[in-house]
Amino acid sequence: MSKDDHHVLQDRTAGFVTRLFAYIVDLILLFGIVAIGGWVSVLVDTALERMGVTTNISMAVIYVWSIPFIIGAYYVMFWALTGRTVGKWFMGLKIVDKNGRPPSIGRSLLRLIGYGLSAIVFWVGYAWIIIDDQRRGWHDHIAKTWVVYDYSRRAGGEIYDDYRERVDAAE
Amino acid sequence: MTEQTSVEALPYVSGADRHRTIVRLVAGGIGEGVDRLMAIASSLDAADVESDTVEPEPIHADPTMMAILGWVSEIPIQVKAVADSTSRVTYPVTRTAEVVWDTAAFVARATGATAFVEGFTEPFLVAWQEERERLASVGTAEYARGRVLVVEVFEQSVGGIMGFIGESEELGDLVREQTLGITGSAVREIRETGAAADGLTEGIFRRLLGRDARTVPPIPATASE
Repeated sequence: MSKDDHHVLQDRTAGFVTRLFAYIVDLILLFGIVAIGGWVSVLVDTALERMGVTTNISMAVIYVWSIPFIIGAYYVMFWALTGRTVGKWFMGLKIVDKNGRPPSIGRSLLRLIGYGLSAIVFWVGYAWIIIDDQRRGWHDHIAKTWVVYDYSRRAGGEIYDDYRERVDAAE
Repeated sequence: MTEQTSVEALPYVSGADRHRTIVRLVAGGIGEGVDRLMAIASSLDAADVESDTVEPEPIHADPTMMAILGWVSEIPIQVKAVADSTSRVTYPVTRTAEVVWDTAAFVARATGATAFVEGFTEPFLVAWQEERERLASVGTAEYARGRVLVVEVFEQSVGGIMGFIGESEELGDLVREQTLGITGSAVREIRETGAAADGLTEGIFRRLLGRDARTVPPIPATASE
């Protein structure tokens, strides 16, 4: 693939395999975050026990119940703030709304619900990306978002965006 | 910046003064270069604002960035020229040239112009290897003086260039971007493989469904939403 191909790909909707890679990277990262959190909660429980502090429910149990919220917060926060999770950033992808901007928090929450719906029927909602004319999964349709390639001339979308913003501001 | 002396004056300077003179010459040259880089960086910012061009050129096609890299790449060649004009301090100066070259190569890598610099790297490193073999018999006193000179010049050159990078928004961005860039080519390869696999997977399924395979991915149909 040449540099010209990158220009062709820039801002076009991304396909299933790239998005799957990004998803796997996010899963690995989330697994690490959850594992570290679990380890910390067990340490806290142990420390409390040694200090003779008794509680009705252990930190580890509270933590386990909070895991879905941690995962949800990870996605919503990254989508709404930057338009990309770590996995999507790694794969050179970004999520945009109809105005080409990162989705709002409300739209991100909707997309998160869409994630659940896409997965609930044997992940058909994700596989939909392969056959959809716009390469969108169910969650994309629900939240009215697109996942696009974010390649730039200098392999740094942020730098390119900053540059465009500065030029636009100057004009 | 440090006072500079011409190369021609060197043979008439003796002893410790001679070493100090060379340090001044090298450090002064580097200092001048850093000043030039700063000036270019300032004009770059101004050019960005005034430019009508909204799309930045790739770095290899950017004459200003290439001017910067070209100058940085010439540092070791200049230093080597100084070394060749002397006899007693060849080792420290050539060693310094190597260090400065490493710095230049770092800047070049950081700004993504690795391929450009490779053209300079190879002949220089070959010359350096030959020089090092020739200097293998240099005595310990010379070596000790060399270390002092190397440390002094190293601090000035690296400090100056790193300071420049730190102050330059343009280069700073590029360095930060290319910090990933150490593994950047690997990441790029993964992205390219993914993008190619996107098209392949889609092509197979679209054929199975009796549709034509797309040659380029679709643009978001935001207007229709």
